[in-house]
Amino acid sequence: MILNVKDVQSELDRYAGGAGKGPLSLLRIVAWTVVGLLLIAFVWPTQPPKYSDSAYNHHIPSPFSKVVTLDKNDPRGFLLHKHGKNSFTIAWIGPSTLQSINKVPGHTTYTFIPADVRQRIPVIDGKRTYVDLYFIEGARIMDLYAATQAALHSGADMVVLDLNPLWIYNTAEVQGWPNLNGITFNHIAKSPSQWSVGAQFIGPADATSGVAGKYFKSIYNRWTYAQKVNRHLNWFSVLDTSVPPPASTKPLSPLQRIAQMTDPLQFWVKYRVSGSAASQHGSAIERQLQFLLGSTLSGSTVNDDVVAHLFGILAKSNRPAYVYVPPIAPTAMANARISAALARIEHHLAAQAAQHQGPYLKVQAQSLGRILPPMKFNDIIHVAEAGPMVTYLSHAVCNQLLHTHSVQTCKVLPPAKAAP
Amino acid sequence: MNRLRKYSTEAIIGIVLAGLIFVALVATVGTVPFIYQGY
Repeated sequence: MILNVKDVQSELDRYAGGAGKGPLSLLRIVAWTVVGLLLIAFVWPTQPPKYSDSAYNHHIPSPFSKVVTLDKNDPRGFLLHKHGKNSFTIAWIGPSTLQSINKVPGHTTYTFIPADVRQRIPVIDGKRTYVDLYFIEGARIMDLYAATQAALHSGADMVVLDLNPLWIYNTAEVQGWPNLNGITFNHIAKSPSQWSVGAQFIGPADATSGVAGKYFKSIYNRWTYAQKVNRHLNWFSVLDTSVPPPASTKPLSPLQRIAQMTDPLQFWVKYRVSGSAASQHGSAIERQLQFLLGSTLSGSTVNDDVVAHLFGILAKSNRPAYVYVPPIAPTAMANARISAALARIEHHLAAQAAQHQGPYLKVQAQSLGRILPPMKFNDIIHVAEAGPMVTYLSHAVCNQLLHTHSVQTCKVLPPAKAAP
Repeated sequence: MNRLRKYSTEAIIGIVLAGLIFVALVATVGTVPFIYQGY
């Protein structure tokens, strides 16, 4: 007869033969758990991700330039292949400012600036040039740090980093891609100097899954499994999406607008960033300006810490690295207040770069908009026609490689002779 | 007999634990597509 917990225990012991009693038994259970995790990947293998999985790669016809970033939720982060011995790989990291989208009636041109640069420098030091684009939509400063860590660990021959001035020192959102935390933990685990920045973003769950992902394919590929499983789980959903209701034409109430928000930043932008009435229903351009004007340059923000670590790892990496600030639209720069705000950001960035100098690192802290002729923009930060920028960056990449004596030859082709 | 029962129970617990860990980790990965809003 079962009267208390002890009786339950002895009953279980009788059936289970005393499993789980004693350290050796627990150890065997752990061993079986390991076997189980290995078995899952063996019994239910997954297809590895492909470049064509990224819709952005459909805009890049060249086989030598590819977006290597995986889905925003995918903890694997990036899809990295070795390009062989006779190759020179440039890891080009940046947010949406890497794109060049020119919309004209009947014909839209969609390219990536690094891919265009690659066409102008098809060969470096006698080797074929490859550009791995660590393109991160809506990247914040910590995301760029995570991508830089991944790029440095990928064995790339050079790193180029695009620092969008809207977000370098804006504390409204410091990280947008927390899915990179697991791999970032693995990258910084052996670098105690990076632990302080990691501790601010990486939680125990990220660390555990990051380490486990290194050893178990079933955990590493969990995003692919989640996609497969979710396809079947939709069958259980009570939400009937077969006949969607017609979209309402009525203006939304303030509460309905809040209900539609999917990101805390949207609430912040609407209600906190600016007190002006225009911002309440402001366009993307107005919001971008607010982000630029809202930068905090006290020198003691999380952003400062991340930028310092970012420059630190690039300076110590002993491989050529080039950092630049993309241009702001001339129409916005005509406003003295915006130009002054950008100048303050440039000055602060240059001061931080001066503290982390390295023989192979060059930081072009002055926005390219101050150097290049006026270009066509889609808003204040996204260029529509990037011709001058492509030429400038092609020469900047080659100059950096030659000045640091990293390579013997690097020649920029004229636009007419650009290779596919 | 008792030892066989013990070892087989340990194997079952271990494998089930692996399954639970796998399901928990798969369930906590989001698959909702990201919509970029221009900033």
